[in-house]
Amino acid sequence: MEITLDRFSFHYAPSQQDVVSGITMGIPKGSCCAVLGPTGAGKTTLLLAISGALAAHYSSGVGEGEIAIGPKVFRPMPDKILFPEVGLALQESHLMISGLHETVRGEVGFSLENIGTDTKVKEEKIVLAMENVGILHLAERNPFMLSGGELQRVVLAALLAVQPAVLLLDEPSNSLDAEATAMLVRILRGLHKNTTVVFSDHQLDLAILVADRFLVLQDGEMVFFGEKKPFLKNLEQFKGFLPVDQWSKVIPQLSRKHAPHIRLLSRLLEIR
Amino acid sequence: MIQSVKDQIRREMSGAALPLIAFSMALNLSVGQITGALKIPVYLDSLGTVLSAVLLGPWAAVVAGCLSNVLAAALGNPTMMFFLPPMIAIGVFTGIVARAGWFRKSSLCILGGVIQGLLAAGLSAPISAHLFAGTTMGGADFLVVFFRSHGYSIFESVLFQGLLMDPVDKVITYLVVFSLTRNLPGRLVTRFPGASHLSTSGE
Amino acid sequence: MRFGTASKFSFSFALALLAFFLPWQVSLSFMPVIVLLEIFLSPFRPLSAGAHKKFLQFIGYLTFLGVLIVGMNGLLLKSGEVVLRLLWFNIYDGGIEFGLNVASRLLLLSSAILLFFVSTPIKMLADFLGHIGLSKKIVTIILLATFYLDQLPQRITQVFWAQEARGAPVRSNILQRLKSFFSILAPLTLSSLVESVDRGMALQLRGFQGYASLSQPRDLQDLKTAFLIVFSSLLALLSYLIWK
Repeated sequence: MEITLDRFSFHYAPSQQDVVSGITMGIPKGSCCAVLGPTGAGKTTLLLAISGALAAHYSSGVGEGEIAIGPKVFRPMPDKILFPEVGLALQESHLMISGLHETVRGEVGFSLENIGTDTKVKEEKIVLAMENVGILHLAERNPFMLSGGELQRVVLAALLAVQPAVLLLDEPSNSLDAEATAMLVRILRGLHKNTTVVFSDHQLDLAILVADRFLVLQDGEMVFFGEKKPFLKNLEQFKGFLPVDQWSKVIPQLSRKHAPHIRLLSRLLEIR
Repeated sequence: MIQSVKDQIRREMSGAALPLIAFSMALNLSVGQITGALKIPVYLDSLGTVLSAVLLGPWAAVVAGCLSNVLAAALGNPTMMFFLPPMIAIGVFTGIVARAGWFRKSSLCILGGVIQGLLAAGLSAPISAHLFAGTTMGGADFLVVFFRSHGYSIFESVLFQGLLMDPVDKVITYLVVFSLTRNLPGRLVTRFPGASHLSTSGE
Repeated sequence: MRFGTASKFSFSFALALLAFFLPWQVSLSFMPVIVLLEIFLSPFRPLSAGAHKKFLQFIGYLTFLGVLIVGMNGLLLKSGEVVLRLLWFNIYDGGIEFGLNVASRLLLLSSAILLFFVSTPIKMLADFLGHIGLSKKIVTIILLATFYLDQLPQRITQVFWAQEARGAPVRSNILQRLKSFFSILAPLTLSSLVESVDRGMALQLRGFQGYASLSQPRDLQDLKTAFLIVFSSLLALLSYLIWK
């Protein structure tokens, strides 16, 4: 589904300042958008707003503008959580683990259970999703015994299992090592063309390797929104608040290769 | 009128309210673990209800209070089911005084706690007297026996015992909630509709 | 005819209602019936061996409470004739009669409620509440609360130990202990409140909602049985009151 924001602003309480302000952007169906910016730029707020959790959980908050997801237009934003059409993975993966299941397999199936998936179909989808994110070997483990990166993959598998039309990921590369990041790149690239992805990051690695749209935020204001070419061209402009240095050096290589390959990523991450 | 009540209920029971109500219930049922371990002779078993009333409002507090007692019954203490009326009163009264801004000042909290204690004592006395004849095997039973042995009726004895104990219990409960709401992180407080009636809301 | 959650609920409700009207002899004679039902009748079978033990413990507690109520009232309620002289104390039959009435009512009421809960898992209770028309939100709240209840005691123990290790006076005089109470409760409540609310949101983001988690469709046969039970017990009660 296509996502459109029109002059969207939000602040958490009537007397407070805007946390995001005047965001206007359009993300076509099936594309992948990176929301970039330093901590406190409003990235999480934006993802929460699209998911519906912001209006539902911050009742004192005040929004303006509109958010459209597919054919549905919400003014100023969806007022209830749009799961399973829209799936959001919070940055704190441990919060997303329900704790109602003792195995990773059960945990991945929890979301499917919640939307009333038939048992047999559920089992197939669980296995497929676990395979997709490479956690099949963890199937019988207790989710609370896993590392941060593994937990993040469990949450991702659980979200992918319900096949949301819009996938929102808050700082997905945060607790991942190079290998896991490479896997995330593969997963995001391998997603069905009908899935629209929006993820936030304060680093550039993942964004440059998978995103085709870029939104750059600073103090809630939109500094840039556009496709990859103009973004890479203007990279120096974001120097003050994005870690562009290491990328400025390798971008010529990237452009030459045109579509950066997974092996290149591993090598690049090793350079760091 | 009905529409405005419905709106009010909807506001108090949306989004972040549901986990807060659930947390309040768990707090009501678990706080005894702390008072028990520290051997403090108070119950504080309406702590969660009061917290819900302050952060959300009277309706949410009534839901939190009643469901706490139902859950307590489900977990093996069916006698809690009989004490729904005082729980409802605690929710409604606290919700109303919190709206009036009483949780902005500790002195008003003490006053609120005293009134709340008297109200709770008045409502639980008939239940205690009628159903349990004043015997609950709680620590306060000796007071009931004391009054009864001095010639007071069961109802009077239970009432006197409640009037002595409940205000203390409720004042402590109110003060705990008062200090808690002052220390809640701002972003969290703004998630709840009762925030505007607290001094922490940054109005 | 099916005997499901609704039927069980109405059975317990009918017993609890009768407890207010029946003489103590009849109320007390229901007690062994309740215990036998809990042991032998499958819909009332407890959820686990632990639940069964808790059930028996509670019945024991109630019986002890009942004896206490009878004894105290025999001693303190000076009405009727002295039936027993114990050292300096006189026991009056009016007090005993009153105590028996209160105790039997309490016993029957509480055990009727317990009989329902001991054999009904929280999830089925939530199902049932949903089926009788309670809001989806209520069902969500109950399920979330049981989830938090699982974790809060552990957390309390952790914070308690941490405070004790830091030298908080957890075993000192009452004022010191009250101070410790604040120092335990404040961090505990703040941190668990923040986490609970965030976790609630996270669970909703994973599609967790009361009704969606309901496993059983509405059981009409069960509702029919429930109606029959309530109807017949009301009828029995009415005829008893007229006869009396």
